[in-house]
Amino acid sequence: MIQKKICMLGTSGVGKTSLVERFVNDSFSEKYLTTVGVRLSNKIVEIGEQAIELVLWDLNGEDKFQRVSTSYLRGASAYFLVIDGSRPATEETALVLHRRTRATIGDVPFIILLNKSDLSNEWEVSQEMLDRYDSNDWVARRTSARTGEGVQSAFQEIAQLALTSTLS
Amino acid sequence: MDVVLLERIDAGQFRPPTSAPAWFNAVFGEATSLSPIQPGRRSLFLGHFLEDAEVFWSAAQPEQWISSGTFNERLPDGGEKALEAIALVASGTPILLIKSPTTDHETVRDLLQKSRSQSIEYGRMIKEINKREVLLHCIVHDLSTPLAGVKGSLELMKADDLLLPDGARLQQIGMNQVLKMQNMIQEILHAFKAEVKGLVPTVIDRDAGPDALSCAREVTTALSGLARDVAVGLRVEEDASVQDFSVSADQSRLERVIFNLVDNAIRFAPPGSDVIVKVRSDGEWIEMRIEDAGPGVEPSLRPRLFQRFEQGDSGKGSAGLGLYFCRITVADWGGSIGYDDRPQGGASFWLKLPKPRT
Repeated sequence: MIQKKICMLGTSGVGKTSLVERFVNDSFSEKYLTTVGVRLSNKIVEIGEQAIELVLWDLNGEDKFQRVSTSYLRGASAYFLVIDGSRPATEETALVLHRRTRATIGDVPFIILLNKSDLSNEWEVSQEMLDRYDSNDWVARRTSARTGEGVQSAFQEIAQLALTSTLS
Repeated sequence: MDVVLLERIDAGQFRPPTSAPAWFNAVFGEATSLSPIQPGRRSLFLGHFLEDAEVFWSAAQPEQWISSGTFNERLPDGGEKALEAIALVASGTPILLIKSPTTDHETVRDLLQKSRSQSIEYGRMIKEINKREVLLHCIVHDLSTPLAGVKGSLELMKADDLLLPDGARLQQIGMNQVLKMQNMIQEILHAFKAEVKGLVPTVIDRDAGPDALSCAREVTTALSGLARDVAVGLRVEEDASVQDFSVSADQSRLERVIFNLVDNAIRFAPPGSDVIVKVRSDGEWIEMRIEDAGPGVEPSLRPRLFQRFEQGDSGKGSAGLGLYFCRITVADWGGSIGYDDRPQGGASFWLKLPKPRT
């Protein structure tokens, strides 16, 4: 079976671990538990007739307390940049990580996840942010690890991107 | 037992440990014979680290080692185990150590949990503050519309000669009050615009940063006109023996912090006196002092000096958010801010900012 390494990148508290939990185990916890180091999970998805095992590298959040080690990125077929849609400042770290990832492993496909879409009263994703993604041809999706909105389809989409990238 | 020592036989293959703790057997499988074990096959993360380890072992010198960093492995019972792998060479033999968490690790994890939770909570609080202040901004802004109507009516009364003999004097009083209120509204709107914007957290590069001395010079140049208007001298004094004044901070916000402190100093300095911005190095820190010859800060106000809406009794400050903004901004960069009396009289506000890591 084809195996694809997918990294979860973003600052702390944006919901990387919760997205993985929702996707792999279809569960969600309201309690915030910080990730120290790396946690690997896997799940098989099907793209057409092709079964793919996604190995999800849930990396610690990058912030003033910890940096993400670039050695963890080696061999990644694709990555998610996770942004908390209720905290637009979290985009800054995502873009820093994006630049570092490209410098380390090159032009690997990625998807921006605007997470916590269930917090509709707090939602602060601006048109300016969306226009910036459009103008760069970046794919951005709204997700909610709490409700599950957009989560399965985002992982399915990244599996497709990882597979297409390998074939091309 | 917290550490398992594995001796490398070949790429990815290790001599089985003579005895192993339960967690090791649960994660990497129990060794059933003397045949080599391949822990990298049971743990994808360890397999990834062993690629680095092989490169390291091929050229390692004694007393060198590399660490995988912390990784978390799921246990068959649904639990989780935090581990760290270390590659080293002992007596010419490549060795892989796999450790279970130490007290240090637990302490670090707890500290991170606490710090990150507080950081997220802080962000929420700032957002809440911003919301309220934007609302206040809107209310103040809305007050200006009917005021413009009152002003227009008063102007028309005069222009169309609708005033009785005593009316001209009363109309002038009304106009003066309207203009005063309009100025107050403008001041409040300007203060909120600058200060509310300043409360949004930013990400800074810890390895490089702006030059504190240049920032001080920028600010004093910008405020030189104000100082001249009130006959106050304004200058920067730097420690000439220091070559590098760079600090771990965001340039525009650092200038805003210095601006607030120097602006305050000019407001309180008596005519004919000087406001001095001193910049020097202090170990791992760059220290800036903004000194004036004004009345200083009353002892009763000092404990609350850097809190919100504190501006003393003089009313010379803005909305009372300036020093609060300075404190939270400097603290966010890992620095500190404070106040001392100047020995010769006057105020000395200081801030210490960390130098960049490299």
